[in-house]
Amino acid sequence: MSEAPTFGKQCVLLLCTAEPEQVRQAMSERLSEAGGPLLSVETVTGAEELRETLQVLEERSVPIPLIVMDDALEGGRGDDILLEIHENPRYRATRKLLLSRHSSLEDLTRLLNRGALNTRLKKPAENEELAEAVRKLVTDYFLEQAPGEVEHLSEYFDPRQLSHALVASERLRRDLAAQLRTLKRSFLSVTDLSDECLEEEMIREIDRVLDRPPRETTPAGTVMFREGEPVDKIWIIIEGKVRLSRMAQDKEVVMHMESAGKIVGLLALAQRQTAFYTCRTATELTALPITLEQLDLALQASADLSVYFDTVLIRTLATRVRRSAELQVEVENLNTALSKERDQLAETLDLLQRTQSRLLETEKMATLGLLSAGIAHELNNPISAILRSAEYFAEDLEAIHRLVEGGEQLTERLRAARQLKALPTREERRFRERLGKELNDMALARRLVGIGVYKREEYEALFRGLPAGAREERLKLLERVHKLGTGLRNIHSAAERVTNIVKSLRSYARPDEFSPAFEEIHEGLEDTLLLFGPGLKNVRVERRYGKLPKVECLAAQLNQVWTNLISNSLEAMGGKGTLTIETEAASDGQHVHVRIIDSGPGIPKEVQERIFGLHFTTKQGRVQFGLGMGLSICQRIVNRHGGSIELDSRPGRTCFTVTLPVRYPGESRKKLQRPGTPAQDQQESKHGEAS
Amino acid sequence: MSQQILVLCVEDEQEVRDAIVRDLEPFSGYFQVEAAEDATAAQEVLGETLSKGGLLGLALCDHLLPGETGVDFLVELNKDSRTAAARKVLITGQARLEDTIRAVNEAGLDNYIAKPWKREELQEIVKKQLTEFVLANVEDLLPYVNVLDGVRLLEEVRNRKSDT
Repeated sequence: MSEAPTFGKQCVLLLCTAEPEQVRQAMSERLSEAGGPLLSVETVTGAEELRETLQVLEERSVPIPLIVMDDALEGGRGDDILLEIHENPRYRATRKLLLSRHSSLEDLTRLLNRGALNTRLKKPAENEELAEAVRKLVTDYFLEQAPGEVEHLSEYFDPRQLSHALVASERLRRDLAAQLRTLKRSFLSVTDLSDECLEEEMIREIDRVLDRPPRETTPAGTVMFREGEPVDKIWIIIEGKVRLSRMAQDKEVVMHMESAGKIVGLLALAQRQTAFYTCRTATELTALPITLEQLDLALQASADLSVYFDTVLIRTLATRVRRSAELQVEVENLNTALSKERDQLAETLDLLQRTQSRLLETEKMATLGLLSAGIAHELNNPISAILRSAEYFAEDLEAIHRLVEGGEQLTERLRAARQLKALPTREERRFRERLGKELNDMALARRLVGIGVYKREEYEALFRGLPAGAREERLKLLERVHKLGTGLRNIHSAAERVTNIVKSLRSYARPDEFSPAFEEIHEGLEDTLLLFGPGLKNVRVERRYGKLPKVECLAAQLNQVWTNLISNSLEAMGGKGTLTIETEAASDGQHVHVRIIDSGPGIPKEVQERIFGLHFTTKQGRVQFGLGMGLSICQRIVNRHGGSIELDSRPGRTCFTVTLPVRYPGESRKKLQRPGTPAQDQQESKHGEAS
Repeated sequence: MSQQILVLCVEDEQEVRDAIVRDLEPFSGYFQVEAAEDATAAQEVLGETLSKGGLLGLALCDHLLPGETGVDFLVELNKDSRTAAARKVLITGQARLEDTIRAVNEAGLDNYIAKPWKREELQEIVKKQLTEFVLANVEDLLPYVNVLDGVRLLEEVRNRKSDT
């Protein structure tokens, strides 16, 4: 571009004409008048002169807004010269006016097509006509090259031209504004359009711009492109659905189905033309394949299409992003659910393990109960036989006695021996010594006391009437009979004890007990105490039994409670001390209290709080003997009976109070089944949690 | 017999005590067989015997007794110089391993008999233990030749004669 003409700087209007001097002068004046003060008119007559002048003007940097070219010049045709000048970029903007008498269409077309002609006037041109054309071209020039000057120079310019220019610029502004609005609409206004409308608009516009490119129909299940493979076009879906998936650890993961959108292959375009997803048709698909070149062309050709396309694109990507975010959230949720599930599983496992150990415990007790009962039953027969045999021995002996002389005495001794209550060894020795002194025969006294003869008179009565020689014989016989008697007595009492143990064992264990029954609490306590046997030898057992109603319970299970509690007490006392068993009916008439009290050292406060816990351990991490496991079993059994256990302990007096309702809880009663069956175990765990 | 040798049986259950005493009858002509239901009664008998210049030859004890246990009683006997030489036998159904070990270590337990016992077994053990006792503590062995291990006693008698 030539230097912009500025106010006060002279611009030159070149007039090229070979007309005679007079005509040239007149033309120059006219042009000078028309061009105003900005323009001085230089006149050249030939091509050569024109070139020289241009040279000079170029050196002085004088802008040339207008060349008026007569077609007849010295040394060349006007149109050729104009073309030549136009070739020089310096004069591109210079307005070019051709004055010709005859111009062929070809010549003019040549100039016009090169942009080397702005106006052509027919010669001879009217002065007014020429002036007007000049004003218009100059105004044009200035409007284009130095619009800032136009305002100041308006009086010199063609007013119509100016107003035209104004109108044109206004139109331009409006066009620009409209275009801007259109662009804005792409992201704002177009959002009012539904996806369907927008897509329809887009396809309509594509069809218009690309002259309705062919549709493709693909059957369902066809792979349109594969992840990682090159893609050179996009598909605009007209009907049908596609599924977009990616491979993850040898597994195809479907990422988009509903969210795939109407344009597929786009990520491929962004990703250097390799597909990001594998695209498979989910239904029969009608789509519009568009190559990248076509797309480029179409977008350039139509601003509206750009808007539609961009909007559809953004919406598609937004949908996919949303879907991805949803997937992310879904994955998060799944993870959370999974970890929750995992926690639950761990909990369940723990519960199962605890249940199993409980089951084992229950099973063990049931087995023990069954075994005990079995043994007890088996023992009954031999015991009956022993007892019966002893009875018959006695009868047979008495029958024999009746056959011998002095037999009544023998029978009398036998019966006495059978009835004889054994004296403490100490007393026996006292009798022995006294009798020995009286008889002055220690050996005889020993034998006499041995057969239950403690006094001299008794001895004398026994041997009265017998010759001294026969006395030894008689004593020997009496000793034998006495031993038979005490032997029978011992058989009887020993068998009696076994019978009692067997009875207690059976009522203690009760393997056939599946439903609660009304029982005497005291009987269970006594059975339990009896079975402790020698464990109680050094313990003073104090019974403070109150008057109790019968209690609806599972007696064998309660016996387990008594056993555990008493066992704990004995353990705490080191096997020596006082065990108090106290029972009492509650004042409400609905409950009974059983207290197991020992005189042991007491349970430390910090231990008391955890003592019923299943996993109670001492500081060393070892289960304290007799505590913990046993007590948690007690707690569970008592809870199942609807009762409670309380502990009150201080040095010298530790008291476990078991409170039981007279009636077994109704709900549990219905559910009660064989020990160790799941229903009962549930029961157990429910109570276990509540405790 | 120059010196009374006491065979002491401590058992709290009367039927069992009767049975043991009767099992010990073969020895009763030669030894003073006494029964006691607990350690206290046993100490009384023992005191009397010792005060009359007698010796404790054998203590046959149940473990679980009212009051002092059998093992405790045996340990006491072992600590007392007058009774330390006595043979000590535990006859029990309920002694735990720890009790028994203690009896061996602290009471110098000589034998352990589990209930229920057999008469021959008991008599054999008593015979053997009393033989040991008289060999170690009695000068005149001849009176015991018939009731105890005669072969060993006579052999010892010969040995002693050749020594002098």
